[in-house]
Amino acid sequence: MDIDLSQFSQVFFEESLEGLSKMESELLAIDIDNFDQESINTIFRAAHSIKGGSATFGFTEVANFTHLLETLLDEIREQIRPMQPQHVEMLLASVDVIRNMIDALMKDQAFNDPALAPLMKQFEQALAQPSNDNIATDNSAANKVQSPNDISMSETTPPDTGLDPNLALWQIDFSAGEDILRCGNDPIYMFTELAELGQLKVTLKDVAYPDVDEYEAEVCYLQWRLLLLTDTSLSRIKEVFEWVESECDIQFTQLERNAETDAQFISPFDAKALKEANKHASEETFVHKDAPTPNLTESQSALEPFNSFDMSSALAEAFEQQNQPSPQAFPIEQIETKTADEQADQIKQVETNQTLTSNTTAVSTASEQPNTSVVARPTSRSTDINQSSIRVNIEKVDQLINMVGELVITQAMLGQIGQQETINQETLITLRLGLEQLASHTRELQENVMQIRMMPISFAFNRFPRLVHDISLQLGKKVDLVLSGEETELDKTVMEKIVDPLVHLVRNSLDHGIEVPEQRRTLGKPESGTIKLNAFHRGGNIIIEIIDDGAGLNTDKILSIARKKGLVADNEHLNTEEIHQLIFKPGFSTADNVSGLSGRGVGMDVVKRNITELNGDINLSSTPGKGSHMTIRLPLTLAILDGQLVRVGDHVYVVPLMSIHESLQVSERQINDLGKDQQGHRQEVIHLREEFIPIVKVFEQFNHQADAKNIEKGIVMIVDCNNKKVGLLVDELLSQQQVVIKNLEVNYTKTPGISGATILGNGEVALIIDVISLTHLSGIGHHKEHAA
Amino acid sequence: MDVSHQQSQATQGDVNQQYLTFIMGPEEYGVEILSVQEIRGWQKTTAIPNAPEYVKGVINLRGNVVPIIDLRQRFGLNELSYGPTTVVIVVKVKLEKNSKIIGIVVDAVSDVIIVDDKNLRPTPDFGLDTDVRFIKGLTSLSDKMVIILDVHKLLGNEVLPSAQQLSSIIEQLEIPTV
Repeated sequence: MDIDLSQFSQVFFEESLEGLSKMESELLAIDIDNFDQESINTIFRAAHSIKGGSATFGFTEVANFTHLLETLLDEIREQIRPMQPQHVEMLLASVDVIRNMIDALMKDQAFNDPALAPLMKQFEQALAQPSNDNIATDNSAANKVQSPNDISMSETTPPDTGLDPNLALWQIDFSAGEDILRCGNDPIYMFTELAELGQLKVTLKDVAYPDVDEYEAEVCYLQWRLLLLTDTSLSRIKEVFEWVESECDIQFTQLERNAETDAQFISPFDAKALKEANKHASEETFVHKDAPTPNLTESQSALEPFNSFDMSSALAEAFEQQNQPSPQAFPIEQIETKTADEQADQIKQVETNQTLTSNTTAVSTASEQPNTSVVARPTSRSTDINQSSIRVNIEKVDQLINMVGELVITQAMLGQIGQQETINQETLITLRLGLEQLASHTRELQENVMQIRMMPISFAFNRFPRLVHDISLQLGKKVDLVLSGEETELDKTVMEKIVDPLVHLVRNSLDHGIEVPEQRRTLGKPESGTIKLNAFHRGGNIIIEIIDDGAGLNTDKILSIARKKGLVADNEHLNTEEIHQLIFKPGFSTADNVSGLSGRGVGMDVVKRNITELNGDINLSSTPGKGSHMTIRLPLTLAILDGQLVRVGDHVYVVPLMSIHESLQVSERQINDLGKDQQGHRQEVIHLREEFIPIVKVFEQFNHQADAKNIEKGIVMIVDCNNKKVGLLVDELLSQQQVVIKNLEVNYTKTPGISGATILGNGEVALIIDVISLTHLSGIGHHKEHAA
Repeated sequence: MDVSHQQSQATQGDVNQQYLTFIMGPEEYGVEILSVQEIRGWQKTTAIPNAPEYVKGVINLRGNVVPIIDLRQRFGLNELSYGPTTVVIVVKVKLEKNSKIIGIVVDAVSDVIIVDDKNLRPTPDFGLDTDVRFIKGLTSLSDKMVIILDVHKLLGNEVLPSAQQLSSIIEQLEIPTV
């Protein structure tokens, strides 16, 4: 009975975050003067499900706040209130607040956002403004805008927004079959489900009770008339009764709405219930109030609906009724007393149950969970809440299952061959065939598993419309953001790590790149600048481009600042390319004013470092006055790497193929000796096609024995290290192959010069060389290239 | 030897704990059996560059890259050559946030013993300079002394005494039994 809700909260968090992004993108797309009704609906639905979910899980803060949003959205949706520009801004701000709330919940921290209170006030004010529409004059009293106190009211009994005129009224006459309870179909569940569809009013119809001697507890003698005010279709309503259709007599009739029928939903009792609802969690309290005659079965049945709602008040009512003289002849007092006792027991039990299962209660009432009820937030949530998870298309999973099925078949086939006594030509052929199949299945399986980690880059791109919207507003610039290639897929881990660098680059483009409208006009450019984000696959890489049509990089300024900061020596001459690279140096900033956005000089170096850590690189080209073009190249996945196996003495290492320019043998006359460094290692450079390339002797750095101690004896691999060439001296080149990257730090610690490990075909572990860190280890990275 | 009146070190959980004991040089050591994942023979390792001498390298343990540590060398004993009978005990070391799987090379696995925590003598004090938390306690088995190690502290990332210090600690531990 007691369900641990916390296991689902992760799903709620994810769905909510998704919902929030959807809200955000729709909000940004809204054109105030001419907006699409459907987009309002989308926003409303997202807000609605966040509210429902948060109430279910007992995150009352979120639920209360989202309720405000929902109320406003609902009024806009129903065209009671026109959409205003400030509404959009408010809603956007609240998306942020809710996101922070959910973040806090995920981390199990207390939520404390100063933006919340003023925003709530804004919403309340907005809602308090009279709507200029008088559609529902009939219910004008009920149509009053919600006062802040009523926010906490539950949804199915909106306190006083009254009844939506667009809702249909359905009358359902439901005579339960005698066996319905025996089949485990308790009508209460159906009613609860109906109550989720709209406003439900349940009345008990005349009941043909048998003589008390023949009364059987397991037989259901009851008939109900249900009135349902809803916007759902008949088929959806019928679905509720799907399981009992055959054994019960059910009639559906749509009734005309009029003041009288509506009044049933706002009965005096209802008003009373509403008052109580602030204290309790009462829902369809009017169920039994309207029941014709209280008697044994009925008061018991009346009990049932309250199981999941407000027990104490319901029971009190039930007792009241029992103490009333029953109009129907029901003479046996003992029974009444007994039931009273039973009920007293039940109360106790239920009360204990209620305290014990307050969370479960929240489940069963789902979206109707009243916000005021104090549902203890699960305090001991599972510890793996911070583990990231991934939502996978079911199709991808099915493919995997197929693949595994194939593998099993192949394995069985190979197993059969293995059991044969003799191996002849024929079995050999089957064996080869089987192995071939195995190879192809394994490859496919690998590809498919990799696919699971792949997500479209739109997950990263989606935040940019908002970012650009906010920042351009703040800077007084006009910017159009163009996104393309959003469906390009890349590894989830890569995606998560690339978001921050991307944000930084886009911010930089906005802040430094795009000029203010006046300046653009004088330059003969369109007033609105354009920032283009583009993604596509090329080879085993994903390319992300950030293109702006702003001012471009000012090379003179960059150079003079770099000289001032001592990043470049005064007499040093740099070409344009090298000057562009300067912006990636730590501590570099060209901004005249340090703003909140950028200009502190931490950033581009971090961007560069993050990208390099992902085994990617970033390139920049820029034309003054025309704009800049950044190209980020990233591997599709962090899990697999194209590697070159090399041998150093007895040791095999893997060098990422991506970083290798070429491998060659050098002759003695190409080598220039620069003397010894502090460690006593000889520093040498090779002269290769007008370039001097420093050499890192891998065996020296790793303290291994090697065959080739001198450069001319071994093989020099020219690799790329932070856009500079470095030669690695190894003994021998072995094969090239794709390797699965294993983290060395999982069980060991970070090792300089090594980025990870992999397992070779023979089952042995080979370490993967991290070129940059190896070069650092050798000390070459600290110096500038020494020209001979 | 009557140790029942000795104050037991604070431990959690069951009072009776099972320990896997192993022999290394002249001493017998024990580790909590629950932290032991498996016992396997020595296999060739892949050396990790610039690692301490006692880190013999990493092996592939069913897809996991697991470092192998020679406990002899870690404890400042002389190195022995490895053969097919050399035993590697694979233990799961719990750290603050995660856990690591590490293999330790020992001379031979000896026994599984059940020790009541009450019978676990605390480690003698070696002065402020020496951190002996990696020793959970001492216990005697017939007339042998078994040094119960806390693998989590021993193999975790904490700063441990150097191999020389360790070897002297263990030498001093011998004194009570002799």
